[in-house]
Amino acid sequence: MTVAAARPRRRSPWLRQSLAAAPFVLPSLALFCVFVFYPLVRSIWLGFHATDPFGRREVWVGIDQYRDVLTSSDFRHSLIVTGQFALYTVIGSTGLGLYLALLVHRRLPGIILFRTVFTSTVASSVAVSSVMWLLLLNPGVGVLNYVLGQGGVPAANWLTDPKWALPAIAMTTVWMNVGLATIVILAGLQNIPEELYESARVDGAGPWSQFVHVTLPALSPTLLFVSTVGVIFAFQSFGQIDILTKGGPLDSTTVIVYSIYREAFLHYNVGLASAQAVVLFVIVLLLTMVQFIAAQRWVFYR
Amino acid sequence: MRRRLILLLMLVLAALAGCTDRGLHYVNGRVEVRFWHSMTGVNSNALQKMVDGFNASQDQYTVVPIYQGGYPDSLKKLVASFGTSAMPAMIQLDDIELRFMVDSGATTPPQDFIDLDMATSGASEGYPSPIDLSDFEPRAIDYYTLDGKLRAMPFNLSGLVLYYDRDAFKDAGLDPDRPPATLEELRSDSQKLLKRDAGGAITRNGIALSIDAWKFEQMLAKQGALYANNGNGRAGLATGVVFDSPQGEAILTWWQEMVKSGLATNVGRQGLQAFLSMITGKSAMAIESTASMRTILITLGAASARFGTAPMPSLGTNPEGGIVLGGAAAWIMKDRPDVEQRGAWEFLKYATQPQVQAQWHVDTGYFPVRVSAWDLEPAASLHKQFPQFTTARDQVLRSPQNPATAGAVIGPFTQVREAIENAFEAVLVGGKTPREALQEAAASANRAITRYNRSVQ
Amino acid sequence: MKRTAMRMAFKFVASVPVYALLMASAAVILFPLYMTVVDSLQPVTKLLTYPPDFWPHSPQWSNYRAAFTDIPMPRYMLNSLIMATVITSGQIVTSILAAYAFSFVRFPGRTLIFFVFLSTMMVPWEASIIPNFQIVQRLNWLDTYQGLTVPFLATAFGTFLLRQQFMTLPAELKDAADIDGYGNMRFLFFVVIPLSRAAIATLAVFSFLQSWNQYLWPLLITNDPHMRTVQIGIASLQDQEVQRTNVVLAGTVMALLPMLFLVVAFQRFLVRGLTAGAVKG
Repeated sequence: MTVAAARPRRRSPWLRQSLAAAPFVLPSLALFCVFVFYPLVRSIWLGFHATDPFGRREVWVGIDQYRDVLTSSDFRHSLIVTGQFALYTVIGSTGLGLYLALLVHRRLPGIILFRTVFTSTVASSVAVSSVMWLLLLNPGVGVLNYVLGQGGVPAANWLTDPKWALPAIAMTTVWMNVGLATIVILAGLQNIPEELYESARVDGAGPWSQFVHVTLPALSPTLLFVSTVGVIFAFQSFGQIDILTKGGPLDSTTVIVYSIYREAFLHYNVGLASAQAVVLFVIVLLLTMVQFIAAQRWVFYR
Repeated sequence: MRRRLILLLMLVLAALAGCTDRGLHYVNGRVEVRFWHSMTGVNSNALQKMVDGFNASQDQYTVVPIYQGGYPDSLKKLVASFGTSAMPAMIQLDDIELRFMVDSGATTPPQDFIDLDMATSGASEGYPSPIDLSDFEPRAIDYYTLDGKLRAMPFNLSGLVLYYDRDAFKDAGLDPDRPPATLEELRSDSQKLLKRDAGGAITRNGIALSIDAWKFEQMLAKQGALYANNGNGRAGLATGVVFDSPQGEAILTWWQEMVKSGLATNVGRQGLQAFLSMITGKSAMAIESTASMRTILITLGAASARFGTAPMPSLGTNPEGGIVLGGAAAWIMKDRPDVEQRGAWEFLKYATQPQVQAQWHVDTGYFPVRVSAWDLEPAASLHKQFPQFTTARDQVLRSPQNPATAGAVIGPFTQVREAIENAFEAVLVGGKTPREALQEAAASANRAITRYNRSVQ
Repeated sequence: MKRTAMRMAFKFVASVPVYALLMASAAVILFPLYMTVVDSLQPVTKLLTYPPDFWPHSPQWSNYRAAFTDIPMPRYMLNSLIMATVITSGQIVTSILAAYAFSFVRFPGRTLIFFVFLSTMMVPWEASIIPNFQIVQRLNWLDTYQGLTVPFLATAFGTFLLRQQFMTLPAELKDAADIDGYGNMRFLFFVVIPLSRAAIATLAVFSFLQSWNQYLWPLLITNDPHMRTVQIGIASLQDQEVQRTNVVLAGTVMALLPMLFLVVAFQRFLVRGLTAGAVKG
C-alpha cells in the first residue's frame, strides 16, 4: 500500500497518449469488436458445431460441415450462380453506365435534365425496384412480354424458367445500379484533362481513336472501381432475389447469401449456414486481394 | 470531459436496456394478446372482423393480429423470438409444422386448457364453459392429435378444388355442369379446350398448373398412398419418406405429359399466376386452394359467375383415398404469461364457435372447423348463391379417415416440400425423368429428416 | 452574322440524332417507373387485363389515399427515416472521432489499429449475420430501433474517407492550436469539422442511402409491423395485398419520391464520396 502511494503521480507518456486517443478510437473499436470481430470468430466456431433448430444445443462435429459445404454440389452450384450473376450485372451496369455517361458528357441545352434522369435510379431502393420489375416481368399480364411481343419476340416466363430467372434478376439489378455507375463514370470523364484530347487531335486521331487511346486508358481506374463495387454488390445481393424468385426455379437464382439465409433461417441449420458464411468470407477476402493486385498492375496512371 | 463522456455512454446503454421488458402489455386496461398470422387480402380482413368481434365481446383481452409473411416466414420469426419478449402469445402456422412445433416444446397444447376448463367448470360463476370437441371437424382434430393430445387448435381449413371456366367449356362443346372428375378426364377435356390461332400458336390451353408440393401430397392421399414411413409418422417417428412410389411417379408423369403436350401451362410456384392465366382467358382450368375463393369472387365481382368449381380430380378411383384436411392451426406459446395464454385460449374458443365459423367460411372460403357451421347463416345462403362453395364441402365430407388422409408428420417438412418442388421443376423444365427426379427428392428429403431427427433427439 | 446563324443551324441539325438517342435512352430508363405510376392509378381489375394499358384513362387517386390510410406506409417511412438518421448521425460521430485520432493524435499502435479498422471492410456483413442476429436476439433487441441501428454505428469506410480529408489539413494548424492551448476536442470542433463540412456531407449522403436501402437485416430482426422499414413493408405488402396491387404500387411511388428528391438535391456529394473510393483504387 505504502509503496503504491509513494509512486509518482505522473503517468508514463505511453499511458497518457493512449488515454488521450481512447475516447476517439474506442467507440468505433468497441462496435467493431462486438459486431464484426466477435461474430466472425463465432461464425467459424459455429461452423464446427451442429445445432438444433431451436437454438438450444450445439454439438462439436469437427470439420464435417466445412467438408460438406466444400464438397456439396449445392454449394458449388450457388458459387457458380453468384459468379454468373456478378458477371451479368458488372458487364451490364458498367457497359450501360459507360454508354449513358458518354451520352450526357457534352454541352447541350437541357443536358442537365438527361443527367438527372440517367442517374435517378440511385433513388430506387431494392424493394421498390423489385416490386416495379415484378410487375413488368409477369409472364401473363406483364408489360415486358407484351412489348417484346409487339417486336415479334416470343414471350418468356421470366421468373419461372431456370434459363431466364437469373438474367431477369440481373436485368433488375442493372437497372438499380446503373444510376450509380453513370454518376461515377461521368465524374471520371469530367476529370480527363482536355489537353489529352487536343494533343490526340493534333496527331490526327478521329473520335473512335480518341475514345480508344485517350478516354478508355484515362478512365481505367474509374472502370475498375465501378466493376469492383459491382462485384461486391453482386456478392451481397439478397433483396431482389428474396422478392422476385426466392432462389428458384431449380435453384437457378440461389446466390451464396440466399443460400446462407435459407440454411440458417428457413431450414434452421445454423451450424451448416455458418460454415457457408465462413467460406463466403474467405472468397471475398481472396477477391479483394485479386482486385488490389489488379489495381496495381492494370490501371494505367494515377 | 472524458468522465462525462463515459457517464453519457453508460446512461445511453442503460436507457437502451431499459427500453425492453418481457412482461405484459396493457392497452386501456386490457391484456394485449399478440396473434401472428399469415392471412392476406380479403382473408386478412375477415380475420380482423373476427378479432374485432372477440374484442368487443369481452373487456379483459385485446387480441392484436399481426401479419408476419407466409407461414415459413412467420415460423422463422417465431424461432427467432424464442426467449425474447418479441414472442407472440399465439401463432397461426400451417399443418406441416406439427412435428416441429411439438419438438420445440415451446407451446401449451389446447388439450391442457380443455382439461382445465373441464375441471374448473361450474366452480364459480365467472368461469367459461368448456368446449365440446364432438362438433369439431373430426379430420382436423385427427390431424392435430399426436400421442393422444390435441396439440394445436384447427383454425383455417382449406383444400384444393378444380376451378374451371364455364364459358370456355361451352365454347369447346363440353358440358359446363360436368367438370372432369379424374385426371384422365381432365386430360381429354383439355384436348377439346385447346385453342390455336391461325399461325398454330396456342391461345388457350386446358389448365394452368402451379408447382406446389401440397398438390402432390393431396394427389397422393387421393390415391390412398402414404408419404412418410411409420404410418405417415403417426405410428412412430418418421425416419424417411416413401413418396417415391409408383403412385408418386404417376402424378409426376401425368403432369409432365400435360405440360409437354401443351395441354397445360406451367406457371411456376405461385398459385396466383394460375388464377391470372385463367382470368385472362389463357387457361380454362386451375387446381388451387379454396382459400382463394373469396378473393376471386370479390375481385371479379359479377364476372366470377363464369368460374365453376369441382372437387379436385384424382388419379384413378380408390375408395380409401381422400384429401388431407390440415390447413392451418393456432398455437399458444408456453413462455408468455399465463393471463396472455388464457386470453389466447378464450379467443380460440370464440373463434371456433359455430356462428363465428359460419361467417369466417363465408368471408374467406375456408371450411368451418365446426360441423354445425355449414348449416348456419350466413353459410347456408352463401351455398345457395354460390354453388362453388358447396363443392368444397362435399369433398370434405366424402373423405375417409385413415393414415393416408390424416397427413404426414415430419420435422423438416419445409425442406421436404422444397425437394418435391425441385423435383417438379427438374422434370418440367430440367428434362429429368419423373422416377429420377422423385428418387433424388426422396434422398434429399431423407438427408434432411436424418439431420433433423438427430439434432432434436 | 450569316455564318454564325449557319453554324448554329448546323449544330442544331447535328444534335438531332444525339437528342433522339438521349430521349430513347431516357425512355428506357424511366419506363419501369412510368409503368409503376400508371398502374398505381388504375383500378385493380385493369391490372389483370391483357394487353396491358399504358395510360390511366380514369386515374383513381384514391389509391394514394388508401396507401396512406389503409396500409401503414407513413409508419414504414418514419421507421426508415429514424433508422437511417440514427445510423447516419452515429457513423458521422464515430468516424469523425476515429479519423481525428488517426490524423492528429499520436498514440502507440496507431498504424496497427488503423489496419484493424480497414480490415473490417474485408468482412462481408452477410458472413457475420448469424452471430449478429444471435447477439441482438439475446439483448432482446428484436423489433427495436437499437437493434436496427447499433450494429451499424461504426464504419471503416467513413473513417477512411474522413481521414483522407483530415490529412489534407496543414499540420501547422495543429501546431498553432497546441500553442494556443486548444485541447483535442476544441481543435476538432472549432477547426477540423468546419473545414471538412463537404466531406462530412458526403459521408452523410452515403450512409443515409445505404441504411435506407438495408433489406436483409431489418427483415431478420423486425416482426412487429410497427417496426418495419419501407423496404420490408413494401416487400410484405406486395405478398399480403394480392388483390390491391395498385395500392401497394401507390405506396411504392410514395416511398420513392423522398429518395428521388434527396438524390437530385445532394448529387454532388454523392459523386464526391464515390470518386473518393475510386481514387483509393
